[in-house]
Amino acid sequence: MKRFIVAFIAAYIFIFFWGWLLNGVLLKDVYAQTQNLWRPQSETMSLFHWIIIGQALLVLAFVMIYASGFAGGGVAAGIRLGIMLEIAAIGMRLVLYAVQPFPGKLIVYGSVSGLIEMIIVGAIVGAIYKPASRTTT
Amino acid sequence: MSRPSLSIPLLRPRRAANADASDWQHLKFKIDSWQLFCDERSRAFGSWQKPQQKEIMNWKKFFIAFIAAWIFVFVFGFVWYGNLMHSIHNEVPTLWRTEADFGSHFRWLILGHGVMAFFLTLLYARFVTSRGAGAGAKLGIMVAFLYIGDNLITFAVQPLTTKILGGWIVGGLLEFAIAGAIVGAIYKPSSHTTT
Repeated sequence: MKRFIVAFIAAYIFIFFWGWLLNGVLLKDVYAQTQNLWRPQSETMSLFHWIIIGQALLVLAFVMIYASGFAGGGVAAGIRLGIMLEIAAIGMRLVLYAVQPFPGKLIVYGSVSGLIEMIIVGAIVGAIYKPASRTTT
Repeated sequence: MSRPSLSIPLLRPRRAANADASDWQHLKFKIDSWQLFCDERSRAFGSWQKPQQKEIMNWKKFFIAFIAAWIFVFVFGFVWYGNLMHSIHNEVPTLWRTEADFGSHFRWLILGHGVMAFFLTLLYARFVTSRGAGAGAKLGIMVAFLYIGDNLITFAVQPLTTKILGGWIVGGLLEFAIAGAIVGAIYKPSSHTTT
């Protein structure tokens, strides 16, 4: 359980800063081209707690899936899970692309960065979380 | 966090060769879920022990489960998001493509659902040991939580209403729990072999 919590916190810290770097800095101009799809900055800031909760839930789900089926495989298994879940998320992104007027390049950037993000999250979780080697009498 | 062992009886004799037999009399090892990775592919990655038991992918069942899940998520999406939530979505019309524009992007909708269904099926087939609809539903719910996390972030950055957010959360849970259950009910590994 201790490693579960440590893995969760480490992955969460990474995802938080990655999200800030990617969406707040690197893709800022791309988002600016589709302003009608986004809340104004001040409104987003007032709802910032949802970003924190959402990221926490995402990381929690990741660590739970890892712990229940991948644990023990180490970094490689974490990366593998990250890739699989991100490709599934790309599927969801394609569905959203079909219904929302996102520019194609935003989907591409989001998918590539999402893949990098989940690979690193997987590596972090895989490196930290180890299944408990329990002995019972 | 750990699952029932696949291979406790097989692991014991091997350890016993290197250990005093009396060590084993009061110990029961609960093997953690890394044993699930005892397949050809996972061996290439890791240094964990050689498999004692492995499941062979049943590609026919996999394909059927995948197609069934794909059809389900597509139909569910049409009914839940497209019909039941139609008026709720229309509260923020600027967020959505026009009918004509949506029609020209329809292939992405089909492909996206297919990708989701494929990887849900793959996750289940490769990494879930306890079989059946219940286990599939459990996996589906865990995957749904990933998407719910994403929905919450989207809510903070896009002008969605709380009704839309609520609808997406409930829809996502139902969609993936049922899709997982379908996969779990259909997919069965073809055989167990001991190496």
